[in-house]
Amino acid sequence: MRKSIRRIGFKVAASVVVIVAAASVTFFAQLAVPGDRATALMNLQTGQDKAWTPEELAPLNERYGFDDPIAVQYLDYVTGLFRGDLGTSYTQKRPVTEVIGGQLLPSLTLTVAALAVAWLLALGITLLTVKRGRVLSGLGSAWEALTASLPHYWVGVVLLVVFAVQLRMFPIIGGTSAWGTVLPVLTLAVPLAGFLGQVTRDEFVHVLDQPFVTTARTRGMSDLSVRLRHVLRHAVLPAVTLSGWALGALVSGAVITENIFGRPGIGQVLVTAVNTRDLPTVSGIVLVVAAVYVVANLLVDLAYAVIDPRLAAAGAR
Amino acid sequence: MRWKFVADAVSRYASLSTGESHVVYEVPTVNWKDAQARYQTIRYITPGKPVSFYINTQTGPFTDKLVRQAFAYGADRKAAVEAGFHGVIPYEGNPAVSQATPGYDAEVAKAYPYDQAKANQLLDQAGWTGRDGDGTRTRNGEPLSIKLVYGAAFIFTQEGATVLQVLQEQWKQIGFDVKLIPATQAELWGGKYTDPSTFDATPSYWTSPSSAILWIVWRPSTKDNPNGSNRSFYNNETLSQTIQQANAEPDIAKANALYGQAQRIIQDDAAGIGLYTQNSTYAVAPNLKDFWLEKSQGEPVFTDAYFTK
Amino acid sequence: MSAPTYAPARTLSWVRRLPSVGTVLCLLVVGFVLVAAIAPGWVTDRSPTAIDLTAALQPPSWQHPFGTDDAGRDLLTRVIHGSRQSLGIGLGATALAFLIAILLGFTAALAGGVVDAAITRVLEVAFAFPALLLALLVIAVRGPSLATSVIAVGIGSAPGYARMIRGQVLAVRQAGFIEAATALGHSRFAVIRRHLFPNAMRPLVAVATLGVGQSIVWASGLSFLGLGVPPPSSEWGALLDAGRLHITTSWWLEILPGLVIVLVTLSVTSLGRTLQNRLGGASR
Repeated sequence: MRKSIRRIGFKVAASVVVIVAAASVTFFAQLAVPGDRATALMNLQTGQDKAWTPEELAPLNERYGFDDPIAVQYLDYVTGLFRGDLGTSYTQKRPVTEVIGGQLLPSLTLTVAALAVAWLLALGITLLTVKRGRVLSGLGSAWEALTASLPHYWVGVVLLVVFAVQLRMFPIIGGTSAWGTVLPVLTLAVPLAGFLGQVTRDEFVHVLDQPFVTTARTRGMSDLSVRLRHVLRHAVLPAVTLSGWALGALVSGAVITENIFGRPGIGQVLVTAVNTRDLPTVSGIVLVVAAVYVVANLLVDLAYAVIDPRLAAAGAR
Repeated sequence: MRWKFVADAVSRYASLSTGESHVVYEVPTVNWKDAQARYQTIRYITPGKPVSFYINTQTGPFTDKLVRQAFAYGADRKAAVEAGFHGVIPYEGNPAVSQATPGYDAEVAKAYPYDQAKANQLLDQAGWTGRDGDGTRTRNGEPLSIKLVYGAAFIFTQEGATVLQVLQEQWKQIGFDVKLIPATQAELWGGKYTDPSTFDATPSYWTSPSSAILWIVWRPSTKDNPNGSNRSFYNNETLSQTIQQANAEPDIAKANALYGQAQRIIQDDAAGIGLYTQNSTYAVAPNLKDFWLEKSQGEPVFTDAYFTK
Repeated sequence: MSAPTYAPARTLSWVRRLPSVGTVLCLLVVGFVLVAAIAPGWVTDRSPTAIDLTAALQPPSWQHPFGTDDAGRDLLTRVIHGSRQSLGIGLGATALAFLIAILLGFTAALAGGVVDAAITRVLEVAFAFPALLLALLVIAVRGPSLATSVIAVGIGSAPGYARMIRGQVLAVRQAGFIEAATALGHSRFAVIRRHLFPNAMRPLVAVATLGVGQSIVWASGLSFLGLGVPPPSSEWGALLDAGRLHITTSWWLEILPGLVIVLVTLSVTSLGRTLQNRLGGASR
């Protein structure tokens, strides 16, 4: 018992390190971007792209401490993090927590829903088509290979035009309404489902050939219950592992999807913040995404333990 | 009333057809004909500096006036603008101010019509007589390469990028090797392309209600009083005097004559090259009445607007 | 942009079930694209930048099988000439990713101890970093260009491969023949070069093939945000970006380049999976 508490404690500490490290990398990476932050802000405020005199830039440098040594700026930033202060957005002049806060939920809804739908699609198609004769299996595999090759943004544009503009089945600017979330979710879920499906299928085929499956069949179990109760449990493991990674990739996809469907979310905020060199906002978003990624992976570990208790006992992964 | 920022032009325009919006800003030019048939449309040409090229007169090939003029003659800018914007957005030959600006001189805009023979002759005269393997002109072994920096995806939409590509192809025919360099917002605003060594030509606009914009853009840049907005690095004392006189002149007709002179100086010296006007386009649902635009920036005004059934 | 960290093993893929037809078709597609990339002049004698304003926005026809764009350029010619950049990004990014991954993976697995722990942590952080942001930052630093796209996509997919390679090296090191070679008195470097490296990397050949397909898709995603290869390049993602505005009026400009990307990615990926089955999969 004490051992597992220590293990969990260690994991949490490691996660915090990962999150802060990700934010720190972002902080320094942005300092490497050429050009002067104060100049960028002045140009942003005036809509120009010119050089400014030191006198014109002085107030901004003073206000945001751009002239301080980098070490001081970084120390300020990190100590702020532990107080729950992500800094103030240069461009919006509000706390970053506020800037991100309002946009976080729509993005999270989108990515989590996309992951769930992708799983449903992948499992459904795998269960229905694996080892069901040459034609059906072939169709299933072909579908997965095809969808796994689809670029997100292209799927998004095509879905939008076909289902929203032409057929009028869904709103074009859906916002965060449930009905308006359908197309963005599908945009992200369909390619991912193809990918998860391929992985699950490979494993499924492998497990179907295992001796314990044959044993179950000789005990008179029906095909469906063999598939559901024995094979599926093993076949999903690799895809579960991938889900943690997939959630991270979905965030990148979400940026593009939010753009196409005019959906609120951190995607648009991120692109704008990078363009306007709004360092605290970009770092803040990375921090949040890293946190989501870390939590997702802790959940994956947990899911592993539930699906396959042997692994948890062995303390694997 | 609800404002919504919809970055994607396709969904923005389409939202009008489903009734999800009543007014749409920046109608894609490919949809303009359709919009005219189905909705009320407003095209507002903003006054001020149009989208025109600043030409770097301080370093590189464009220090030579002949080369600048050849650049202006060398491409069919009017046809390129019509192709890129599908005939919706007007060509603007005057690099200094747009046709919607008080004090605009329409005669100035007519200079440098498309004439490749003339351009070739000017380039020969300027000594760019050699040709390398790709057909690019050379002088003393130096190729005639032009760095054209433009704000990708924020000043220049996809439509504007098409215009630049058409021009690039035509400039190639007379021996200019034009490199299109897309700059991100972060690069452009962060000051990556402020130094004269970083570009030869860069297009941009500056919205302003009057010709007084000329002073902001073309005020000579001196050590004591630098003018970062003078992106052609063009210091001309006569021009400076003329604009100052115009700004101080109380009589409007006289002021406009002086502004016209200033525009002619800029055009004659090819310190800038005209391209197209900056516009605000709107499509408005048929049942929304009395929606209008404010006169300086073309911002929408909804105070009088009402719906009919 | 992170690559999948999982390489399926011991499988029967659909390509293998229909070996001749599917694989041959995929080979044909990939072969055609390779020829187009290396010598576009053999495939078409038109210029991808030739402008004809009188023939703008024409739908597909015999003369222009893929139609024309707003400047009257032939879309098929542009797609063919764009394959060099698109394939170049796919191959270049994968090569770069593998270079980084081999360095990190081998160092971690062979050095062990603190070094291994440090590299594993770094990879952990890299995974938590949204790949698109990484790309945006690389572009902000370097400006959009072909090389930038290669670097952005390459760095983004390196951590996944690094983790895989580290696992492979650890697994292969346990194998009997390595011990035998060491016992025979071969130098450490010779063992790594002759035995460890080839055996650890063999299963990753197929993974690399899969990576090429994914890199093409990702790079075109950057172009789609207007941050890819500068015009007048006809890199496939740039074509999609240009075609987006036209989708309701001139569908071919968006749909056809998209289909090309899907077809090529599908072919490359399927070949990769066939190869994987032949060579045996990488262990997890």
